[in-house]
Amino acid sequence: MKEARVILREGSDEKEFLSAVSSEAQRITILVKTDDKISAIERLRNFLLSNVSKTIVVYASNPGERDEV
Amino acid sequence: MRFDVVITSDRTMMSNHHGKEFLGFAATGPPIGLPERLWMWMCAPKPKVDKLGRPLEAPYGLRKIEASLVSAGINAAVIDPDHLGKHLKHAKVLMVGHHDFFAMCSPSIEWWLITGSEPLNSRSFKRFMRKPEIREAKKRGLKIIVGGPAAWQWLWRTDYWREFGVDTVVDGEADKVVVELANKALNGEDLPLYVYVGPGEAPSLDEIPDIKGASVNGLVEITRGCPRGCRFCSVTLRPLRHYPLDKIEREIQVNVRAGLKKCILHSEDVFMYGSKGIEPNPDLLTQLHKLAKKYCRVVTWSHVTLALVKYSQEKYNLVSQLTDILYDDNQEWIGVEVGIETGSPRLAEKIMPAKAAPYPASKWPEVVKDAFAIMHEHKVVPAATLILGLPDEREEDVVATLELLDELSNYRSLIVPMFFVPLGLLKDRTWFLRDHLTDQHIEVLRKCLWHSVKWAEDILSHMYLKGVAYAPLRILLKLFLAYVKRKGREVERSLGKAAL
Ligand code: SF4
Repeated sequence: MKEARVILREGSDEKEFLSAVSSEAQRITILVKTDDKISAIERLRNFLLSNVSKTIVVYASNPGERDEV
Repeated sequence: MRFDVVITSDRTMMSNHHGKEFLGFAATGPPIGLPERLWMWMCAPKPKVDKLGRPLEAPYGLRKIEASLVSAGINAAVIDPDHLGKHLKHAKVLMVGHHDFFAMCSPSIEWWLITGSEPLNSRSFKRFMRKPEIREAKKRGLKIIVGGPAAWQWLWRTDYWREFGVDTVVDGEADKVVVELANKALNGEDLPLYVYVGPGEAPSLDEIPDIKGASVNGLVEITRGCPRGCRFCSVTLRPLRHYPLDKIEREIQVNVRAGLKKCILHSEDVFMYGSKGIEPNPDLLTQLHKLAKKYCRVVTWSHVTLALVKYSQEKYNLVSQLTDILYDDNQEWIGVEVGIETGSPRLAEKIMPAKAAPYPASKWPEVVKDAFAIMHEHKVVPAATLILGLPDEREEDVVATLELLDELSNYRSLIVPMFFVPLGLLKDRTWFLRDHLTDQHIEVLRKCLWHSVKWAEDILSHMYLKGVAYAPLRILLKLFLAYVKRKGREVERSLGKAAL
């Protein structure tokens, strides 16, 4: 199973994210760095609603925490 | 006895609906014409529970989650929502499943839009999530994981996601991932906010454990997935898997041991069971029905496709054969869900090109009529859906649907119109809202209303809820039908239409 991991920071551009989405990976793990966890979902909502083929796992953590999922 | 993981849902889900699956659908409507408590009693009475508060019958989806967790050695159980208090003092994880958390699925959303009143399922779910025992346990660190076929609704309702303190939302077939999540929660590791299980990670048959406790009304899965590829449907994204007969038998035995004498064979198309492609397998279907009937007085189907009703009967005489196996002194009819969706061959070709297979989509209205005639003759009563506002729908398509409805008028059935709700491949398209209703749509709504009222009265008088024990329910439903008729006429008068 090919997996892509990507970190989204507040205000960062989404190039890395978009390349993970368009890659052949069947599972994408996304870590969103944010003070407000649920806002991660709001930020990704359109993508999550349109995705049907890949497994998606979304984590959220504070900007100060380690970048680990 | 303590459980680390408690699995549950609100009352509209945790009920056997008086043993009548169709009554459960009343929870998709708002409590109109009757007080809310009476509605709740009518569609979702409390189930029997053991001394720990474990329901005798629980929704099949929750039973599958329980089976996965227990098989993985996790101390988990399905608990009735009225008995959560004592368990949440110790449990570390609460898992909540639902078919329609916020009444955003059809037909709940239609009822809400038409009546302006919130349906019972969503009212009941919110009440449930606001229970003090859940709030208190949450403060103590309880992890809340929600999922089920309506998990996508949380993406729209992040307000409730925040309010209820949900830790993780799981969308898709959760049999495997739920074990991973429970272990993370029990080990104090970070939980993901959201998991969508893609078709590539759908569990194989070996990875789907048998249920450990009885399912509501004896429902047992016989297949998962559907190969027809309708563009508005999320089920079709998953691979088709057929349960072997011995696995089905084991699950029926679990239900029988709990005292159930009925069985609902669950599949997106019962006639697809054991099929090669979409060619039915009459031998296996016959074996399956004999097996189920060996254990149960009443055996019914969850869904069939109209194409295979027609094809199976015309090629193999299969509807006759299977109903011959099932019908006896205990059972003289079957209710089943089917999808008409549209009467327009043009739209059928675009949006559900394989739904009519093995017939061409251009013959869709004929397939529907022939299947309805076969079902009428064999006392199979379809509860059919129509979808209004499909992408690219034109006026001529709705007119074709109206013509088809005229041709179905003499066949015993309920026909429920739905607005297009974007799921599956189309789940990011704009919603079909009330403002988009055309005059033709209103005609479809009227025709469906009067068709369904006429046949509901017939079904209630001759088939459904027979016997003294069901008299109060029968009376309530008759009162409700009278209310619907009166309201329907009022609306027609306000629209300047003559009654149909
Ligand atoms: S036939 Fe039914 S289950 Fe199969 S893809 Fe079409 S709508 Fe979905």
